[in-house]
Amino acid sequence: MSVEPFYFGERELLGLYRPASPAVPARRHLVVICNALLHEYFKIQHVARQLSSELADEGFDVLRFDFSGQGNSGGDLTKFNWLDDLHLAVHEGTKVSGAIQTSIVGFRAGALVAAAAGLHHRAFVAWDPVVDGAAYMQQLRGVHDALLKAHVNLPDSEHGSVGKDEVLGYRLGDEFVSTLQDMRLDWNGVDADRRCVVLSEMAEDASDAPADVEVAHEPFICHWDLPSSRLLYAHDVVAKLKDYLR
Amino acid sequence: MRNEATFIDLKQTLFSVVSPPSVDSIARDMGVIILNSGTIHNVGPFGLSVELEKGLTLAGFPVLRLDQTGKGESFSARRESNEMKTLGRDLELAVAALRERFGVSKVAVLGLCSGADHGLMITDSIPEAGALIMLDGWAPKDLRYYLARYLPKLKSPAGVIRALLRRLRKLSKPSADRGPDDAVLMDVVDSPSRQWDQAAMKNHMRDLCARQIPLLAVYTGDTDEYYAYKGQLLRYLSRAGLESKNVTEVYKRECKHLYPLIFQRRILIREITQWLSRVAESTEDMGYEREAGHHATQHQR
Repeated sequence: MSVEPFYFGERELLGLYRPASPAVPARRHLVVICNALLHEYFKIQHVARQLSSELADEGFDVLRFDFSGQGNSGGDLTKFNWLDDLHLAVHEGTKVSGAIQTSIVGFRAGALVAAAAGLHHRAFVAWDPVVDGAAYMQQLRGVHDALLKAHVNLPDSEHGSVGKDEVLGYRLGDEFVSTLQDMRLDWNGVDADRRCVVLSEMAEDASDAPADVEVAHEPFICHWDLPSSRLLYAHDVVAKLKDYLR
Repeated sequence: MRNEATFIDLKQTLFSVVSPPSVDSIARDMGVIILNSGTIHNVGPFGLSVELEKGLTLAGFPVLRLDQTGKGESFSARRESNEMKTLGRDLELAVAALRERFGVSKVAVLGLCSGADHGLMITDSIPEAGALIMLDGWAPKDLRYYLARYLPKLKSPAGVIRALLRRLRKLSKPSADRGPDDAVLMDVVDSPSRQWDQAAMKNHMRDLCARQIPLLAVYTGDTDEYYAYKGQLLRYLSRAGLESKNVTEVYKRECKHLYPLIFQRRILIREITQWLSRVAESTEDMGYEREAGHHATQHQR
């Protein structure tokens, strides 16, 4: 069965729901995929789509969605609405699928948001999670600055005016930035029967995670700190994420 | 009315996001189809396609952002026997989707980078084509291109040596080890204009001009590899004896290939909406005149 797109919530968030394949026994288990954010959102589109498709083939119902101000969703980034967005997505996904349990897959900052949402899941699986919101904002500004530095034709009049409240084409509000900067990934606050993290070679360290957090290292190089919007094709990472959800 | 995320083929594999014109805007008889840029899905690089859609719907145009077969959410859509046939079928379905929803009789095709080139390759074969907007799309090189690109470099021998060393370093480094500067340029280097059959592209341009389909070609300061001076496309058209009165060429040196900065997007959106509004209005005027002429003829009978 193919994807069923739908909009939900006041901010008109786009959900891409893929029900479990009718060819296999339904697990009545919803997996909500939390996208990476800002420039990283574009890199992981193929990985998210592939994971969604393969999970549905194994009997999972899957919901991908765009946080507000991202991708095809409405809203903007003046206020930090992403926690509300995730609550709403889990609610809508459960309603649409009729699932009796949920799991979360979080990519990069999507994992940071999901960890702070205070929801219970069967499994919480993160790929290269952002651990520190302040460091992440600093990295984003670094990416933006690198882009400006490489911009040989940028008019002098624009050198001072760009980048103050914008990052790679997005205007970020003060409230949004301060909320994101205050966030830290707290594994102890993640309420899940199984907590797992897949780390590729350029990921932040996860050594402060509690002992029961399962950690897998994948020899996959991904320069999250670079502004390219090229797609990633990470089949081994997808296979590992899937393993953790089974 | 809100955006509609939907599949536009019977098999439910060809994905697009369809957006109605703003309620307060002038009603247009033209819709806009936005193609993919490279492998990036319908949202566009850093969300550029969504921003373009917002500007165009405010100016009264319904917009369809298409995930072409094999890209984005249309990853598993059926491929035809060759790329052009697949592209032709995708566009046929996109035109039908706009016509069914908004009753438009004309479409403008808009693309960046490979999307611009795809637009050039297909627009001349779309019966409903009303305009083509190419952002950093194809441009043929001529002698003046080489002079404009390389002469300034020769004035600085040190610069030539630096450029050669840069090139050597780049060639000797494995791709995974490339630094940030290379990555910034990656999408530019990926610009596909040089990979197409140049004779075929010239034929498409000739057909486009022969059909008098209005063309807006916007080039940025990132197109050194195939575009080096303002007026390069118009000069080619003139030398090839092609009709260029419907061609507008714009050089935005201050913009980058993917328009990642807000001020660059503002410039681009203003350029496109103003140009397309003029095109749509003149097309509607002509349609009105034709219709008036038709009525007059009927009346005489």
